[in-house]
Amino acid sequence: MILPTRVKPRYYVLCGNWDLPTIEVAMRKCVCCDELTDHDDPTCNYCFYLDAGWKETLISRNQGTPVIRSSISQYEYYTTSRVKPEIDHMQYRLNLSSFGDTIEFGFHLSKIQAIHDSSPTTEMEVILDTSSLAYDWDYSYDFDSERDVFLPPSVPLISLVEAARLSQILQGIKNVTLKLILPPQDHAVASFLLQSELFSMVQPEAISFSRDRHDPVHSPGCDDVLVPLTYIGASTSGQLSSRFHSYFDSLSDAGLIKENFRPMIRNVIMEAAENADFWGGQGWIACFLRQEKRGKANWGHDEGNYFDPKRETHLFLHVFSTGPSLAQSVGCESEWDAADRVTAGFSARSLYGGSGIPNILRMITQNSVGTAFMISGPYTRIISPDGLVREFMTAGSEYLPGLHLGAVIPLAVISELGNEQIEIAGA
Amino acid sequence: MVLNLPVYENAVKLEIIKLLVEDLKIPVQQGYLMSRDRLGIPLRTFLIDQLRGKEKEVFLLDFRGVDEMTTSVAEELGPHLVENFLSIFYESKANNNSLFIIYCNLSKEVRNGLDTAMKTWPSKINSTRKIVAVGFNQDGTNTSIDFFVIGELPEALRETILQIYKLDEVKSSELDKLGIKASSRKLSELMEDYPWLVRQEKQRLSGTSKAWSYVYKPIIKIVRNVAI
Repeated sequence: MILPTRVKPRYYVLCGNWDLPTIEVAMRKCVCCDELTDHDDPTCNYCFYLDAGWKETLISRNQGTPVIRSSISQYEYYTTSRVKPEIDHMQYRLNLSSFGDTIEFGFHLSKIQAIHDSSPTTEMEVILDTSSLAYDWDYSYDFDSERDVFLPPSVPLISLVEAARLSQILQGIKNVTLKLILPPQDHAVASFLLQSELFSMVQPEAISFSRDRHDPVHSPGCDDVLVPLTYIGASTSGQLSSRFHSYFDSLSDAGLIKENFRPMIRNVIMEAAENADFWGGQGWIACFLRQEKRGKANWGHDEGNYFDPKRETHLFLHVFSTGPSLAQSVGCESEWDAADRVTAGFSARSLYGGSGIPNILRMITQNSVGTAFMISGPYTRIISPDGLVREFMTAGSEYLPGLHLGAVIPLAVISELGNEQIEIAGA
Repeated sequence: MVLNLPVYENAVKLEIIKLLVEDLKIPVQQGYLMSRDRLGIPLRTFLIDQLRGKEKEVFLLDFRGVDEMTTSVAEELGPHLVENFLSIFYESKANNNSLFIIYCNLSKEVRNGLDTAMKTWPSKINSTRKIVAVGFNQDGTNTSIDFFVIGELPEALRETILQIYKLDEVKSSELDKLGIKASSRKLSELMEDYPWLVRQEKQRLSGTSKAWSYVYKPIIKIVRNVAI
C-alpha cells in the first residue's frame, strides 16, 4: 500500500502492514506531471519524463562525479523561455549568444519537444536570434585588409557549432520551422554566419537582419578562415563534397599548414565524418581558423613583443551527428564508460576491423598535435596531448542527441611559421 | 609520368575511380574515398565479381587518382579483398589456372593505409599466414619503378621476393649467388605459404631432354626502359 504525501520537500512513504516492520521509501515529485515517483530514479514512473537535473544531482551525490552546473538552471529555463501560444501558431524564441552552450540548448530542445508533443499538429516557429553576437565581435584593431588575420578570439565557435547541431535536430521535428535573425547586414559577424553556413538549414526567406546599433567593425583580411558546414550522408554516398576539399585546401594554405600534416588532418576529418555517417546516419563537418589573441597591447604583447596572427591562431575541427550517443554506439551503459573504452583503444568499428575514434585520438593527442574533445549526452571529455584529461557531466546536454567530436590544433605546431619572417604588430 | 605495366599474359586493368564513378555511380570527390558501407563493400563485391570465373588473368587494381582513404575503405580494398581473392585463387589453382591481383599507382598515403590495414586485419584463412599483396608506386618511370610488398611478411621472404621482382626471372642457384642463404628453402616456403605473390614455372635445362628446374618470375613483367 502506498501512502503519498505532498507536504515535505523530500517525500517518505510507509509501505506494508502496521504489524510488520515498515520500509521507508524515498519519493520525489516529478517536475513534469507532478506525481510522486521514485527518489533514486531520474525517470518518472508515470509520465517517463527524464529529469536530467535530478539525474545530475543523483550522480553528484552517489558517485562523487564532478558536476558543473549550467549557467541556466532548470528553474530559470522554465520561467524565461518565451512561448506565446496562439490558436494555430506557436513561437519559441532562442537567443544565441557567447554564453550559449550545449547545456542550455539541451534544455531548450527538451522544452520545445514537450510543447510540440502537447500539440503535435500545431505549427511552431523557432526563432534563432543571433543579433547579440554583434557585440562580441571585436576586430577594431585589425583593420588592415591587406594583412592576414583570422577569426577573432571572441567568436564562440563551439557554442555556434552546438547551436547548429540543435538547429539540425529542430529541422527534423515535424511542424517546426526555423527563423534566423542575424546581426545587422553590414556587420562582419553576419557575413561570417552566412559564409560558415552553420544555419544553412534555414530557408533564405526566413532570414532577417537586426537593426541594432553597434560600433563599426572590419572584416578579416584573410578570406580562407573557414570550411563551411558540410553535410555527409546517404545523399552524398558517404563522401565529402569537392567543395569541402577545395575549401580545406584554401584553409590549409592560409594557415601555412605543412604538407606532411595536411593528409593527417584531412584523414582525421574523414574518419570522424565517416563515424558520424555510420553511427548517426548523417553528419556535419566544419573547420575554422581562430586567433586566440588580439594584435594589441594588454593581450600579452608590448612594444618589445612581436605579434604574428598565424602564431596565435588555432585550427578548429568540428564533426557532429544527431543520432545515437557514444555510449549507444559503443554499447556501454554510461557515456564516461564509453569514453574510457574508446580512449583506451576500443572501437565499435573494430567488430569489422576498423578503428574510428581511437585512430583519431591517436593522430591528434598521442602525436602531440592538439587537443581533442567529445560531447556526448550529458558527458564531455577533453583530452590534451600532455595526457591531461578533463571531464564533466552536465544535465541539459543529455537532451541533445548525437555526438560532437572536435579538435583544436595550434597552427604554431603544424604550420611553416618557423620559416617565415615574423611581422611586427602594426607595421 | 605513370607506371607502364605491359601485359604478361591476359591482364585486366581495373581503375578504381572509373569503376566508382561509371559502374557504381558513387560520386568520388578529388580521390578521397570514405565509408565502408556506402563505398568499400560495394566496390569490393564488384571487384570480386569481376575476378570470379576468369582464367589465367592478372588483375591490375589501378589506384591512379586516389589520394587518400579511410581505414575502413583501406580494409575493404586491402585485406578483405585479398582474403576474398585467395579463395578464388586456390579454386583456380586446383583447376590449373593462374589468377593474380596486383596493386598499382599507389600514392604514399594509400600505400600506408593499405599496409596498416593488412598488418592489423584478423585473417580468417590461417592464423600464421599473413594477408599480403604486391604493389607498385604511383609515379613509376623507367628508372624509378618501386615495387613493394603490402602487409607483414617475414623479412627473409620479403628479401627473396624483392630479388625476384628486381631480376624478372631467377632460379634458386642464382639467388644463392646473390647472397641469399638457403634460397631453395625460402622459395619453397614462399610457394607454400604465399603462392599468389610470384609465379613458379618449370624450365627445361639446356642440353638435356628431360631435366628441368623451377624459375621464379614476377606476376607481371616490368618494362624498365619504356614509360608512358
